[in-house]
Amino acid sequence: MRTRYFIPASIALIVVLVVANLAWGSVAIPLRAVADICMGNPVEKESWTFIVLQSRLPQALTALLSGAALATSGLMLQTAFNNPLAGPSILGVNSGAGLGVALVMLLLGGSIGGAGFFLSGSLAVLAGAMVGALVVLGIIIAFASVVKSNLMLLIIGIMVGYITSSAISLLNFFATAEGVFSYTVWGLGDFSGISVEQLPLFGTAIGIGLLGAILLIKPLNALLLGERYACNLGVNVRAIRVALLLCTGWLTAVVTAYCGPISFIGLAVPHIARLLLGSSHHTRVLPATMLIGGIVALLCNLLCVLPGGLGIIPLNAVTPLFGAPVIIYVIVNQRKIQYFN
Amino acid sequence: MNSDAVIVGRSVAIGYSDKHPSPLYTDMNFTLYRGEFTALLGVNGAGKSTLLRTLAGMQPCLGGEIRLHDRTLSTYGNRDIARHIGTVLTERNVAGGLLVEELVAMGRYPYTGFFGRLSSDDRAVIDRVMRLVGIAHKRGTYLSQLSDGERQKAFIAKALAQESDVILLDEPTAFLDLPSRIEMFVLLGEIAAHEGKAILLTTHDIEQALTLCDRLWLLSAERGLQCGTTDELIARGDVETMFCNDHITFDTTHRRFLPRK
Repeated sequence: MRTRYFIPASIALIVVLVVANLAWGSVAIPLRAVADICMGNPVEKESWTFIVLQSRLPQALTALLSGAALATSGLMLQTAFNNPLAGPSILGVNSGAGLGVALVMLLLGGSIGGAGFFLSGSLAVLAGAMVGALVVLGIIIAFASVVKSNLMLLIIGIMVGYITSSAISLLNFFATAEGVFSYTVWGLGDFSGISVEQLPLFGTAIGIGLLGAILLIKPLNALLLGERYACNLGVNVRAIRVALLLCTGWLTAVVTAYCGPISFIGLAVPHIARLLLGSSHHTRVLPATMLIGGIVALLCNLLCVLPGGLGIIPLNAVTPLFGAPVIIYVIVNQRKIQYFN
Repeated sequence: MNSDAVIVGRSVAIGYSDKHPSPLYTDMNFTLYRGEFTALLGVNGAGKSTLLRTLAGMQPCLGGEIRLHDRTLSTYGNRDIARHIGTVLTERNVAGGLLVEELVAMGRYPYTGFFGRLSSDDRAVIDRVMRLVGIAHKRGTYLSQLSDGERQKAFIAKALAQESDVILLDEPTAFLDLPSRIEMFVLLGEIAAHEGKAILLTTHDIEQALTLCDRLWLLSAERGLQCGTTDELIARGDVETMFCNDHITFDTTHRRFLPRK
């Protein structure tokens, strides 16, 4: 597909999906009313205005930004590790954030009794996730300066992830029932945790990360040829690798802190982008990955709301349903897919 | 110093610079000349790739001095080296999803700006080098759809797009069939002669090297690095000493190795 048609088409799709996210939810609001609310006109029910503007709009924007951020992290990691099956959770950044959250929810929740429940979504959880993610990232970066092989670094990332998971299991084992419950809920993933007031901060944090990714497009292209070729083309490979890890770590940590560990978007979306564009050149694939990441996240958020008032299911129950088939398709067809060969 | 010398090594030591540097070789002396096609020969594990990587500035020189033009190699920055030395390596990569044209354009990396936008000059260089190696008709083809020989040509075009004086190739003929090997040697010889490049390749295709290369570098643990024109080294018997043993003999007239009867 031509890039020329791709970008307008995906922006149009994003607009449609945002509107769908505003209209579709556990409370039925007619499209006409949604349109009126968006244009600032009064509608029959006061509560509709509140729901659309204070709940659904920030949720849709959060999904859009988070999807773009996770997908971009995935793309950068796949190129940085020369491995099309790398994803943001592979570095252990996700589980590092998880450990931070577990420490806050389970230890604090355990010692203050029932307080664990109220802590979810609070500043302490955010700080915990951020600190946990950045600590794991620090460890990976420290290893990156010693271990030269990308594959080995990838395996170290996976091992660090296992260690943090084991610490989380241990914390869960000793925690109170309330603590375990609120941690489990956070772990299911959710785009609704960000209020209108928090949105500008979240948006700025994601924006900084995405801008960083755009600035890394040129060295990312050189890295497609492998580290030695990149080095011979004048890339300072070590510095670029640290920059890539910082950028992906930041994006993953911010999203994970606010929305929980969301699976599969980072792993699968870069493949969709490459397959649709028929290219692995980042000048085209990186913007496409951002857009498709947003589209997929909006779509998943929509699918969380079951039809017929059956309620809302967790985000992480939906993302694998789209992500796993993509990865299986890619693996089964890898002989036919150019970027694998 | 010969005016056509591009790279000159004096008492060079190479190896891995880990905590206890124990060089593979010390006291290597060599000169790489503009317009000449040189082959670096040696048995597996002799250290050919290590020498090549040291010359490309990818790993440090452990002793002595390597000069690129009038300056020590280590004083060049990454981008500077990229404009003077192009490489074709055996590295595994995920570049299969790039078009030939996109790969060759990558050779302009050291010349383009922050976002890698190509100027019309850059595009002219890319077109010219693709025609030069005979890959222009495949410009819109994915790398993964090329034959091994075409893929090597595309990477050679990438190295040419760097407009470097030196091109270093690590076993570019390793996976090629016989016609492609000979074609590759002829192509590299022509590029060296007509474009005025200093070309050095490592190879196990000794017989092609003996007939098609201007100069040889023979590398062995026993005798270190011996350099000279192909004719000199054959006449001196160095080629024979290097590869012959109880089972193998060298036919000087036909430049062939034969089993000893």
